[in-house]
Amino acid sequence: MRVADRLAPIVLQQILPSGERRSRPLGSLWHPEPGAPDVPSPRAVVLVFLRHFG
Amino acid sequence: MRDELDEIRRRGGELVLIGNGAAHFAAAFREDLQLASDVPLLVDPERRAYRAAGLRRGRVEMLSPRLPLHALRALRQGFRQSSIAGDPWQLGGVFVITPGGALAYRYVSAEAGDHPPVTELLAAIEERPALSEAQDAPRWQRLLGRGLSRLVDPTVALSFDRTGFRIHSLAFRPGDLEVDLSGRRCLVTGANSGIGFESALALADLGAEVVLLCRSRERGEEAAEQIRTRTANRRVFVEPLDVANLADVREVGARLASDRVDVLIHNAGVLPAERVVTDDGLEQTWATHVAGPHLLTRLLRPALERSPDARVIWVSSGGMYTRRLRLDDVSWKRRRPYDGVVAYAETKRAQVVLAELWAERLRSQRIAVNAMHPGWADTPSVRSSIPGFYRMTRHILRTPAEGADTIVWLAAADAARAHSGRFFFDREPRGTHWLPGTRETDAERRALWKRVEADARRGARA
Repeated sequence: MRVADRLAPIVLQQILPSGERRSRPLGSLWHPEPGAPDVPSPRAVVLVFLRHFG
Repeated sequence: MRDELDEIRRRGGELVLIGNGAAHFAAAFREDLQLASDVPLLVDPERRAYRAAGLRRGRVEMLSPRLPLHALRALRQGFRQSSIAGDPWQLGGVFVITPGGALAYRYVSAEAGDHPPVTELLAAIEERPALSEAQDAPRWQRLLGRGLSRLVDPTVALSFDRTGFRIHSLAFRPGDLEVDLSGRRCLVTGANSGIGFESALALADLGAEVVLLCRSRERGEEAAEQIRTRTANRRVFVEPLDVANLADVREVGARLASDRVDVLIHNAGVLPAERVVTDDGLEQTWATHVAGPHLLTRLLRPALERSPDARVIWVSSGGMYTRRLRLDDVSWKRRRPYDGVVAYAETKRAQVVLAELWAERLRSQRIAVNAMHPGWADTPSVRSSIPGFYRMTRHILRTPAEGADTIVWLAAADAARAHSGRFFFDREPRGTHWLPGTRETDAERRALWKRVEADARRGARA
């Protein structure tokens, strides 16, 4: 299974600059979100896993 | 990475950050770093994405001699380490995923402070090479592993010991255990120490819910707390069970069967010095290795059928190669003197045959049943039950985690789904007979099934 396919269904909390949170499936980063035009973003996603915050 | 944001974007990339601490730490981090408002920042306190990405976690990796150099470099670049918010043992990594989900770059940190070379990363964003995700070990390494295995396997000692593990592992596919087991429920008998503990620990670390089935609640709770602390997985539970006591198996099995079971690992083992008869009138080794696990599998069958990918694993022993299936005196009523090592090896042989019989019966339900042996591992039961063997081999024994490796692989790896009814050692299916006269007849196989079914009914009357 591809890394992207393993990551895609995982839903994480996105912390917005306002401090608000919203749920985001990781797959939406490289696949269009529901309701969006059915074309993937042309940009490559650079997914950085931090060792920790701080 | 923050400094390279413009360059990443110029080359067609979009930066996304994931951290493993709580949400409020993330908000403070965004502010401290003055992170651009359009860079998505996500939090993964349960480390599900970290596990799915196959990122490393451990104490040894935090003690690299290069750590001071990494810290110095960070200081020169103007970074100041504040208090760590999140899992202190987690390592990071960087992935470039192209539109549509193909992998163009992967960097898994091997130690703290270890970052990918920026030029390499930027080139991957621009060029987007199609990276192989099969993650086989390099061809030369696999060939070397197979060649060396052919040399050492006939010696037994150099195959079963830690040298054997190192040689066999040359052919392992590193990506096989980069899986996320969240939502899967795994039961492990004898899980409070040794190989059972390491199996439970590894499965919890991959995100599974793990139920430790142990004779002692106290020792089970100690093990569970250790696993929770080391993996940050809170879904680790204890269910007291003496698998040699059929009434106990019946009661606990019925309770566990109310929920789905994805993985059942028959690991509990004993090697008594003297003949012990259980309350059910069975010899203890037979009851622990054969009758109890058979009854538990029978009771959990409906719960296993509810899983889309159920797996049953029998932890046998390489000692089974020395014995044939023997059913004429499983309770050692006639044979004198009692020999615990022979009883152990005979019941371990019975486990291998029983796993094959279960595999045949559960094939149509797509439940995989396999047996395995862990090689020679340094476990508390080896130390206490066969001290002479331990004294002789202690410098060459595998670690309990190395002994547990194939159990975890059978329980978790996608590649293991293709197998049922096989006997594994170091992630490879192996033959079940080496010595002449150890092969059982079809009639003996049928007699084994009849015998364990009779034992299961004995439990019902108890």
